[in-house]
Amino acid sequence: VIFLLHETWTGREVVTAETMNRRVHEVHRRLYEPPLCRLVGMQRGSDPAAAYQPAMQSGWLPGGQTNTLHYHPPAASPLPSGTVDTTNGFMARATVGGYVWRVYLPEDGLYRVTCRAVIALSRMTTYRTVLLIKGTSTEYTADHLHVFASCVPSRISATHYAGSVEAVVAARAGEVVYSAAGAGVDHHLADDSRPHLSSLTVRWIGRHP
Amino acid sequence: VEFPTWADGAEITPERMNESIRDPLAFLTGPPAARVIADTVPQTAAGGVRRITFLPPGDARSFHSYDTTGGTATALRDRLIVTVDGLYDVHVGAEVAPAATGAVTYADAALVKNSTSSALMLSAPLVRFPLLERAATAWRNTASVRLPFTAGDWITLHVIASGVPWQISSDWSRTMTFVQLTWVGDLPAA
Repeated sequence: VIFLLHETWTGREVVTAETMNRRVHEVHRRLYEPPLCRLVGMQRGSDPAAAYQPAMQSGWLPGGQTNTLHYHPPAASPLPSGTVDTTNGFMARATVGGYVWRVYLPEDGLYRVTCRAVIALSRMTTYRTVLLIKGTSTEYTADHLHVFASCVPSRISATHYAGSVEAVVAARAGEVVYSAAGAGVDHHLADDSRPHLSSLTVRWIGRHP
Repeated sequence: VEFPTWADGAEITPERMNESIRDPLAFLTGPPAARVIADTVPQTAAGGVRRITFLPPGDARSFHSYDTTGGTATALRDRLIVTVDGLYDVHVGAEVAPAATGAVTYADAALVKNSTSSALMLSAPLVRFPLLERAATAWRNTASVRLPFTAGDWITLHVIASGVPWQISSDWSRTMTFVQLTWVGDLPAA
C-alpha cells in the first residue's frame, strides 16, 4: 500500500530516481490501479425444504432480523471474472466458516461502496432493506450511527427482492465497511443459484478529507 | 483545473515541477467531494413538500459527512455547491416516517438544480426517485447518477410524502437522508 504524500520540489533539490518514483510513478500507479475489492455474494440461510448445505447455514433467517451479507473469498468465487482484490488479500479476508463479511480499508481515504443484494423470501412482506455500514474490526453495529446508506429492494420474482445501494464514505486505515440486509418474514440472503445478483464493491477514489 | 504543457526551451524549475506535476496529481488524488446529512424536519402535513436543511460537516450529529473543498461546497445549509467544472457522481438518499397515526401512501424525493423551489421537484427535477416502504414506520431509498455541472451550480433536496403527516426524525430518518457529490472527471468536450 502506497501512501500519497504530494511532496514539494524545492530550489537546488537534486531530482533523483527515488523522488521521481515516489512523487510521480507511484501516484500514477495509484490512479491507474487503486485499492479495489469486488466480491460475489454467498448465500446465507436457505429454504428448509432445500437440500442441506452446511455453507448456507441451512434454514431460514428469522423475519425481523438484519444480518450481514456474506461473500465468497476471491479464491473461491463462483464468478472469478467478477471478483478482484487488488490488495492481495488485505481487503477481503475470509473468516472462520470460509466467507468474507467485511472489507478492510488499507489506508485513509474516500471509498465508493456499492452493494447489490438479493433477498429470497418465504412469503411476501413489506419490510426489506439493504444497509451499507462502516465500523472497525472490533466495533461494528448496524445502528443509525454506523449505517451510511440504505435502500429498499424491489420485487423481481414471486419470491425474490433485489436492490442496489451505492455511496462514498470517508474512512481511516484499518476501518471496515460491510453490508447487511433483512426482511420482515423468514428469508435468506444472496442466492447461490443467482450469483450475479449479489456483490459488494469497494474502491478507493481519493485522499481522506 | 489547469494541466500546464511542457514547452521546448522552458526552464525546469521547482515551481514548474510543482504546478505541472505535484498540483495536478494532488487534484486527481483528492478531487472535490462533499457529503451532508439532513437536519430534522418537523411534522409536515400529508402531501406537503419540504426542502431539506443539512447539518454542516463537523457537527457532532453529522455522521459520515465531509467536505474536501475547505467548506465551500457546504457553505450554505440547504444545498451542495459545485466548486469545479466537471462530471460528478451524485448519491442521494432519503427517509420519511409517519408523524401521526396512519399510513404513508407514497413518498418520493428529488434533487433540484440551482433553485430552492420545491415546485420544481415535480415539474423539473434533476433526479427524482421513489421512497419505498422499509416498514410502516420508515419509507426510504437511494439513487445514484453521474451528471455534468459547472462551477457555481448548486443542488437542493426536496421530499414529499402523502397519506399521513410525516417527519424526518432525529435518528434513522435523518442519517438516511443525505446528498453527496464527487468529482470524477472533466466535462466532455463540446
